[in-house]
Amino acid sequence: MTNKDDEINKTIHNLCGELKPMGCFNPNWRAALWIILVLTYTVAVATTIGFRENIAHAMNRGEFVFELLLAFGTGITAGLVTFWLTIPDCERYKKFIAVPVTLLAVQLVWMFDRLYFEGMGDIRENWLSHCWMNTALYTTVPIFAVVLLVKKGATVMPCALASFAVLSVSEFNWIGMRLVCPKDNVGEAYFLNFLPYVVIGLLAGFLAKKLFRW
Amino acid sequence: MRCDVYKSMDASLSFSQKPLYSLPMAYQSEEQDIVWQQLAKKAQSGDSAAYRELLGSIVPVIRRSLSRSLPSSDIIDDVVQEVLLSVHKALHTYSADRPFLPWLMAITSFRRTDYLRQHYAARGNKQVSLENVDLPDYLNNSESAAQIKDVEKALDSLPEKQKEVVELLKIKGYSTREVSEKTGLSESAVKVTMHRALQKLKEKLA
Repeated sequence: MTNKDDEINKTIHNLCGELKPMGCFNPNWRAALWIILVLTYTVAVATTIGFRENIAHAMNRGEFVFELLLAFGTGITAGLVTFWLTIPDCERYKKFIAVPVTLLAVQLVWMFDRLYFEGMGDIRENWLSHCWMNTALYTTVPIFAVVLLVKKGATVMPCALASFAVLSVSEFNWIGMRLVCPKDNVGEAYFLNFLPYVVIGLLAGFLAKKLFRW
Repeated sequence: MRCDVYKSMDASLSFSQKPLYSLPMAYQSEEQDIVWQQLAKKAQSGDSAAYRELLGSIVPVIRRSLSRSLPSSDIIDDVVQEVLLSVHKALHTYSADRPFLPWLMAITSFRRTDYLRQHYAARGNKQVSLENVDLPDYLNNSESAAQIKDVEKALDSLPEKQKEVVELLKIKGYSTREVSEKTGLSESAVKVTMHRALQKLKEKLA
C-alpha cells in the first residue's frame, strides 16, 4: 500500500468521523419557496410604491398583457432552471434550459420590433434617481434570497446558474416596474428597466465561480 | 434506461455482431448502482459504516475515470481526494431515487475541470519538479565514472597545445577568437588544432 493510498484511507476515515444525519436538498421545494417569496415581495413593493394610474387601461391592452405574461413565463422557468442547476446531476434538466432561453429570445425580438416601429419614445430626465431606485428596491431581497438558497446546493454549472438567476430576478423586477411605471415606451420599459440586467448578468457570470464555490 | 438501450442494441444485432461487453457490464453497473444508492441513503441518515463502504467502493471508479485525462498517478490521487471531499460536501444533494453514478461522475468531472483550470493557469504543465528530473548520476554511477576517466586519460595523452585548445574551446566554452588571443595562435590554426585533437581523441576512445 502506497503513501497516497494511506492518505485516501485517512481521508475516508476522517470523512466518516464527520458524518451526521442530513436532510435531502430538494431543488423543487426551494424553487417553489423562492418563486412564492419573489411574487409576494413584488406585489408588496408595487403596493407600497403605488400602482400606476392607468393600470386598468393598460390591462385592457393585449400587447401589455402579452409582455407581462412573457416576462412571467421567462421569470418562472428561469427560476426553476436556476434551482435545478444547484445539484450535481442536473444533466436531466438541461433540455429544459431551452424554454427560458426561447422565451427571452421572443422578448428580445419583440423589443427590437417595437424599437423599429415605435422608436425609443420619451425618457424622463430623472430616470437615474427614480426608475433605478425602484429597481433596486425590487431586486435586493430576491437576489439575497436566491444566493442564500442556491449556496446550500452544490452546483457544477456556476456560470449558467448565475445567468439564469439574474434573468429570473430581472424578469420579476420588470413585471414590478410595469405595474408602477406609467410609461411603456421602449426607452423606459426596456432600455432602463431591462438592459442594466444584461450588464449585471455578464458581471455575475464572472463572479459566479467564486460566489458559488463549494 | 441504459439497460434498455443495451437490450434494444442487442435485439437489433445478429449473433455474430453482438458485442461481448454490453450486457454483463450493463447489468453489473446497474446492480452496483443500486448498492451505491442504498449505501448513500444510509449514509444520509448518519450510518458511518455504510458511508465508509460507499467511499471505499467509489475510489477505484473515480480513479479509473480520472486516469483517462490526468497524466500522473500522484495527480490522480490528489484529485481523487478532492472528489471524496466534494462527495462529502454534496451528499445532501443526492436523491436516493436517482442513479448514483451520474451524480458521482458530475462531481468527478467538475473537480477534474477545476484541477486542469488551475493547472494551466499556473502553467504547471511546463514546470518540472527538481525531484523528477531524470539526470544520470555521474558520481555514483560506476559506468559513467569509468567513461569520464577514459576521456580524461585520452585528453592527458594529447600534446600540450592540443590539450589546451580542447580545454578552452570545448570545456571552458571560449570562442575561437578568444582562444586565438589566449594561445597566440591564429583563428584558423585554432580550428585545425581542434580538428586534429578531436581526431586523436576519437581514435583513442574507439
